[in-house]
Amino acid sequence: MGKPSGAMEVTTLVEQHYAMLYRFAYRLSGSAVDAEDLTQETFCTAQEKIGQLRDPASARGWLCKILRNHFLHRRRANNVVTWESLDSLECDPEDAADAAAEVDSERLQAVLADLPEAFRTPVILFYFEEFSYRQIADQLGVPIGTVMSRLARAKAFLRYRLRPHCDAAPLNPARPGVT
Amino acid sequence: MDCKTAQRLMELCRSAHDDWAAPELTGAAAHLEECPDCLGQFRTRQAFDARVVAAMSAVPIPENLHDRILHRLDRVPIVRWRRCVVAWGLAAAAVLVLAVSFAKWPKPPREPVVAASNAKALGESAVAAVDENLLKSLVEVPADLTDPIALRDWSVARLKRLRLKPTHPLRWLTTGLHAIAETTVANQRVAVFQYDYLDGRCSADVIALPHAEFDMSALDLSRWPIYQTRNMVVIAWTEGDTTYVAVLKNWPQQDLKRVLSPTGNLT
Repeated sequence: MGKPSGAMEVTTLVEQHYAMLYRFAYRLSGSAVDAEDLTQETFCTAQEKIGQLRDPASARGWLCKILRNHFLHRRRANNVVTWESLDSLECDPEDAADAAAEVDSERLQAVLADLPEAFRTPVILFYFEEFSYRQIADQLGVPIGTVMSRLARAKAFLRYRLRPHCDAAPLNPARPGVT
Repeated sequence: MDCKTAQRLMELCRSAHDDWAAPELTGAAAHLEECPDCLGQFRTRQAFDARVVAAMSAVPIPENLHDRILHRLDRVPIVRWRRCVVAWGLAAAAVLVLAVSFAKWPKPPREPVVAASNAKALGESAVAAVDENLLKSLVEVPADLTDPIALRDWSVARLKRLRLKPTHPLRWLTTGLHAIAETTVANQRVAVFQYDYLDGRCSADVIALPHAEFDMSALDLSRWPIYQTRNMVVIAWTEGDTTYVAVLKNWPQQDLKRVLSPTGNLT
């Protein structure tokens, strides 16, 4: 049986984006196994829906959106229910002065894992330097103002948790609410 | 713009990008030019962001991940093909179920198109039906077909081709049959069996009227004929689920008496 007409294009998408997608998936899920599954599922979905991709320039955002949908679907399937308050993160901007000289990748992942998904996804996309906050708003389907607010709070949370001499990971009261 | 607002907006800007061009941030950019404290804060945050960017990307890519993705993609077309087959199969099954349900659905009783109690109307309908001008699809019996059984089989086959369900009347003579035709009685398609006797001097046209389309339940078939003129007699009888109406033209009296005998044995 022959491949569908979009198979070659999907192969091209794999070549160009698989590493970025895997990193995004890893930062979202915190698990190498889940990240690989999510990456593969994303390209399978992309192959089925390749006709929906009108502009090749938007492929990266399109793939990230598919991946995030798979991630959220898995969370729902696993009955991971979170109550995420968007109002509880209030960090002192002065924390920025205490930011760590170096940021360890694993420690960063531990801090990201403590962020609610609503904050985690925009801040990951932001630090991948792949998306502007406008594009992130499109990705998440929320207003730009919401993305701006979430990014500001999430970044303040990262600075606070990644400051020197904060090796343990006790939940800070300033953390965005997860109950 | 105050410092707090400017610092919140600064979170959205990355030095390597043109984020500052966004209309929401122009005010913050102007503030930084005027506020050395916020500018210093901004530079500190930019340095922190640069370190987080580096750490964020420091995720080792599993070996052969690229190949595994392609391998999995190769299996997807088969799955899609199976899905298509299953989907089309389900759709076909659904259509079949609907069709069968529709066919089996009890239909409302049909109004009889010929009133059973009105034998005269039935006779007139029959007479009108055998008007030569109304006959359709007249099929002549082959001249060499003389065996009664073979003749009956031939007539059944012809009726099937005409998509007419009633069969040849068993209680009527098979000799003399020269054609089968389709005609219309009260807007219903019916079969007509045409007979010639006495070298064409007299004839009989037997019309098959299915009970499903013609209500004959109240017709008293013991009192033939149901309609009569000087040169024509119309008689009727029932076999199974079909009523046959025969229009006899120019029949000699002795032959009519035989046909109209109380025994009703036409064969």
